[in-house]
Amino acid sequence: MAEVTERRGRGTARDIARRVFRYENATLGIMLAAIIGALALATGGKSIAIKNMKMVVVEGATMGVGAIGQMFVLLTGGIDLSVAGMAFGTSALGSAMMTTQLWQNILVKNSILGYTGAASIWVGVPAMLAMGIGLGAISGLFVSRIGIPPFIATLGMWQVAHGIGFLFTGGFTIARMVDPLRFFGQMFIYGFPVAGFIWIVVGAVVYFVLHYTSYARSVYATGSNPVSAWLSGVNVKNTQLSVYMISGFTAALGGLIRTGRVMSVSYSSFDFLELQTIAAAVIGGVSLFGGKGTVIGVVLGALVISVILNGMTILRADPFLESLVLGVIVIAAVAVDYWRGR
Amino acid sequence: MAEVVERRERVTFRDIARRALRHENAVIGIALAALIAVLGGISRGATVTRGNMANVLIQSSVRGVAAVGQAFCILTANFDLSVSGVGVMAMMLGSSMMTTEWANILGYPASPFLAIPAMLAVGAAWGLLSGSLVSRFNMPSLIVTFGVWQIGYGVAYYVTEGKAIMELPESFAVYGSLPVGPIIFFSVAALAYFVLTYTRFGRRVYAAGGSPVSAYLSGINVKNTYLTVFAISGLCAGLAGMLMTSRGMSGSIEALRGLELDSIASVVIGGVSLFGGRGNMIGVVLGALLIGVVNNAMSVLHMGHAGRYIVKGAIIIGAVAADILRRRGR
Repeated sequence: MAEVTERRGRGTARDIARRVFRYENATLGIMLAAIIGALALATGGKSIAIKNMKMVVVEGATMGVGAIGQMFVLLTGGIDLSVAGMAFGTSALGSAMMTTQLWQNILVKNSILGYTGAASIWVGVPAMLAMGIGLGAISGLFVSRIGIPPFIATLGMWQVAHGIGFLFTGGFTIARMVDPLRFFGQMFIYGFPVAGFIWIVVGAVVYFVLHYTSYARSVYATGSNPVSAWLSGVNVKNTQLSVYMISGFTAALGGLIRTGRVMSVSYSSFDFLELQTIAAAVIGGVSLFGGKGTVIGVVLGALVISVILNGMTILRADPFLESLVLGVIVIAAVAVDYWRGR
Repeated sequence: MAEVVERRERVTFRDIARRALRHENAVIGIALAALIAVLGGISRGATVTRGNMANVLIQSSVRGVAAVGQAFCILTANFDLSVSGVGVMAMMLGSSMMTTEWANILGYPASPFLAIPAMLAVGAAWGLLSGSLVSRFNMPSLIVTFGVWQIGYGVAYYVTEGKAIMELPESFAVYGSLPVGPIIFFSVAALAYFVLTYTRFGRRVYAAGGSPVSAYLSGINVKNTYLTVFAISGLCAGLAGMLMTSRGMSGSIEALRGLELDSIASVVIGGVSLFGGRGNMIGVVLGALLIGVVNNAMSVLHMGHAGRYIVKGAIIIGAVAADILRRRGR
């Protein structure tokens, strides 16, 4: 007893450090800090200027929000390759509804509901999010009810969503959206970007869901072992369906943020988003084999990628080097995932 | 005995038809024929002219060669998403060797006889890279090849700075054009058919795909089998890159976009199961031709991007769904 007390008494910095290190996301946090530090040195402090940090958050939010949805899919042992297509498809719908360039506005062109001008964000944004959920539900149904491998179902859905996007934009870049759309990508509240707030809110809600609801249990159970999950009464099919709907929703939300920032949409706006979300999730410690991962890790993972991409832009690295670096990061993260599991 | 003889005598056209239908590649063959006929009707004969059919064959040979390699991977229940990345790397290396781009270490334009082996070697080497990551580190092939795909494009961009490489030697044009390109495709497919059907390695591929554990228990080196199929797929991707370079007589970053998707679609339509261990090369060839016919018809009919993406996505999902439902029905 005395010993225990004494031990507790020796709660020195070293003990605290040891406990922090044992925490699973600590390595990641330290890695993030190290990368930020290294890039700050390399760029002569430019990368840690407040203005640039805000940029990192806004840029990262699209990927970060999408990665949270991706995490749900990965937790059930699936994978969502349709994120980029979904983000483009939904943003194309939203921008084609909310553009003030009337010859591009699908509502005006087809005189739907008697529209003669651009739709307000109260109509356009819910339509985008609903489309994301709907397309997600379709891939979810293919995966859960027919048993198509998630990778094929979502790869096909990527194509379909991308095609639908072309349908809405006619292959053009759509710009001149209604002004309130700026809110999602260009506005700041108390100096902190709205996009960052959206990211935090989504993260907090998901954190709550994953820690305090029975839904989380069924997601993790489905991912660790679908058969035993089914045997213990989890509705595996509906769980699978729901994660693809969540991922569709977050992809649409990510699309909304980027559309609000750039205030235009083109078919290449979301290139490589699916890879980035997978990379963020895997770096964040989500296992590709299902059943393991936390939302805090995913947020940190998305920040790591965002910081690296931003740093490369500041350093004027060859933009094509970005895809090389991303590829290496993904493979390295999966390798680490494997070694950790062994 | 008498009955048997009688039965044998009564082999009618219907019996033959029934037996043919029961053959696994019959459905796809019939679908291909029907599709050609229907598309010919819709386009009022524009798709079935001799010139256009030749086009389809040439276009299909690039996709088909890649699909043959992809089929080896999928037969072992792995995927190779790096096909276009590896192919484009081979393309850029080869085309810069044959011109005097800076990537050419020789300092003078290499002949095609030097450039072609180099392209194939690059493909095989990158296949070996993915293969060793998958087989030695147990990493999921999907992610490994996704990463390798990225790296391949990154390297290709880095070498060429995103510019197209033109002015290749005239003698290089022969490989991707009419007689030679399709001949290469069909001979590669025939070789693959032979390897898969009549060699020990072919047995190992099917066994490793059907059940890796029981394959391992019966003494098959599953890891090396995986390694080999990825090397084959990389080699085929390099060959596809070579054919595409020769067809377009230029090296361009965008030339092979979507090849991995097309090759997977060809393999899946050809009746190879995504869960490994089931399927044959004849189906893959038919699948590649079918995708070729559809792609070509969409451009002859001036279909927009929207339709093309949606049709392709629907074909892929539909083919896999059909595969799953067919097996569930048995």
